[in-house]
Amino acid sequence: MSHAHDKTPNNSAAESARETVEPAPAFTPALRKQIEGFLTRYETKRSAILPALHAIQDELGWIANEHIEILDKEFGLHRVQVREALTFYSAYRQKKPRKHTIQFCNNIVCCMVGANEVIDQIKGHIKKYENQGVEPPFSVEGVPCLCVCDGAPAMLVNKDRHLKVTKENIDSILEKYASLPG
Amino acid sequence: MSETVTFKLNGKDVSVPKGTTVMEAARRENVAIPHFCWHPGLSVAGVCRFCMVKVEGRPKLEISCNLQATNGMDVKTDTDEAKTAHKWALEFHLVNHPLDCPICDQAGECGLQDYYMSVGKYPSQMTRPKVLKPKILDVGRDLVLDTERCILCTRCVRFEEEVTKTGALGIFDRGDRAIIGTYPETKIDHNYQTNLVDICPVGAFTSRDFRFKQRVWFLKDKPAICPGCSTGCSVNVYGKPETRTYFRLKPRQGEANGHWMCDKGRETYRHLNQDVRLRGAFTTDAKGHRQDTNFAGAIESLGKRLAGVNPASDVALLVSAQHTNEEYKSLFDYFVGDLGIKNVYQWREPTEKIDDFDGLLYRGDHNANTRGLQDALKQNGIGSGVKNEFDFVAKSGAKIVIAITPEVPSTFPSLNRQLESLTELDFVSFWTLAGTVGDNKKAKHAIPMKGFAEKKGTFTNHDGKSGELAAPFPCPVVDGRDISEIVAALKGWRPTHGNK
Repeated sequence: MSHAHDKTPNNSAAESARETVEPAPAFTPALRKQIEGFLTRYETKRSAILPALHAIQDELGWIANEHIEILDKEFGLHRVQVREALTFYSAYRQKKPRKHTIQFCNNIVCCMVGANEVIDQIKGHIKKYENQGVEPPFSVEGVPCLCVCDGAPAMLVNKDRHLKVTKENIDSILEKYASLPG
Repeated sequence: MSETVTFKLNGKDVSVPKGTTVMEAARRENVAIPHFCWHPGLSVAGVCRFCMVKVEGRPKLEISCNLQATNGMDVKTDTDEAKTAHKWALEFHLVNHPLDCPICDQAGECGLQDYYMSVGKYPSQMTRPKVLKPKILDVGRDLVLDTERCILCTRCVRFEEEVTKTGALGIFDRGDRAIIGTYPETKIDHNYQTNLVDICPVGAFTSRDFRFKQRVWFLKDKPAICPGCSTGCSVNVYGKPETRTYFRLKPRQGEANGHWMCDKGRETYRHLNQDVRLRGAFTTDAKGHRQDTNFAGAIESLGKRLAGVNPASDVALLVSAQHTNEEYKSLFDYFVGDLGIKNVYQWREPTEKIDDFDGLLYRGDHNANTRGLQDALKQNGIGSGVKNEFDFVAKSGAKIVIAITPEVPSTFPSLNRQLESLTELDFVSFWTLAGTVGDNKKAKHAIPMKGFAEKKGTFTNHDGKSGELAAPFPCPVVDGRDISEIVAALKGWRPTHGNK
């Protein structure tokens, strides 16, 4: 079962509640300029939706409804079409990410050498934080192949690659990140 | 495009203009190819993968909606290979369909049901639980959306993009979780929403107005012209003659309207229903008491009155542009031609903006036959006679006013107020459908009329094109007559002996 698709209604309700209290970060002038460039790059304006969303996520970490409204009103990208693209690709984040985002490969090679067990262990850590009433410093999701099967099981934490992640060494890696600022 | 191509369709040679798709050619030849996403009024999407045909010499089946016919092509729609493809395509569409036909309004006119019977008829192999999705979504004034029933054909998305250009609908998420919807917390807001219900091949969009009112197989549909404005859309009227009830209008493909009609026009069946109609004729006796009567009695009392005055000066005629050309002809032939009446007034709604047009179908002129009435008045040497208020009728000193009221009350917001002021006059004979005339205690004389769905005739639209009312329903009101029938009865009326 793919973890990327594992969105239970309860989860998303809690997340959207969190969303409303967290104000969406504002567009920076550099981001605006970048998006304006995309608008003229393609034959149709609609084609600029994907790169624009990428740019927003790279710059601000996630894509809020407010950002869609800005794309609609200020850049002339239809909000329905933007939302269609945004909801189609699970790699776009629609909610504010936690301090660190763990993307763990859950394809066949990594699974054969224990990826699922490590993911469960990470989830256990997250649960511990939640039980203490603390916002966990990381989130975990299963992703398809990270193209380093020789280093399986592989994971990405933010943009750092970690190879041969096992039940034994995962705790120390997490500890290191938990003490780092976001 | 005068160039034609000739290709074989199921072994028969077919010639079509170059650029025609196999789907369109097959439709022209009455060859049924099952389809969901293709619609003659919308662009080709090719998403349902249902309209597979075999082209000889090509390794795989192809979708006919996006396949242009070329010279020498040999297309077969009924090979075993194609039939199997249709069958399994249908089963895939039904994987997550809830099959709640017993409580679905679309049952009876549903693409899934029809195609199951024509190309399906397989035992279902789907044993896994179905994906559950949001239901009973309020997405617009007349729309209820059930995303579980949806098969994602995107007809509605394309309608919003291409026809109304609002782009209000989209497909969100993906795979078996994909749902049709509007942007969060927004609704579809235009005058063409119910077309989405029509083009939806399944029961995903249902009409709030028609929802749970009637099973469609109990309804009879008859072709007519929408009386809501001067565009004159071709429509089908759906009614149940046994209970004398009307339920809805749907567009019928026509020159004036293409495939669509507006929501305002769809309301124009309501005034035909008995609960709001004048149900019988009445007249007033010498002591001023109102008496219910039948049609002959109403003609008798009106005929007597007309015989007692000089029609040319004492009679005024009020007529609206919502009746047929044939009715105007018989009306003016008698009243203007035979009786020489000069006071003919055209009754119009004061608030209407006659030249308005929304760019698609709906016009500011809310009368189906403005052109027809103008032509008839001109032929009889009468000016346009447009009057919005009726003080002048009181001042004209006419002893008898024949007020033929506009048929569709929703197009005349001031109708009741104007009827009220007319009843102040000495003697007004109302020829009307409006039940409010009967409710008005001061009204002295009234004859119930037939509605547009109950008579034959023609309307002339804004463009001068004529639209035909050809297949009348039986009139739910026993004494209901059209203008021609009332005029014929008046013409034939003679005072009987001992009646004076």
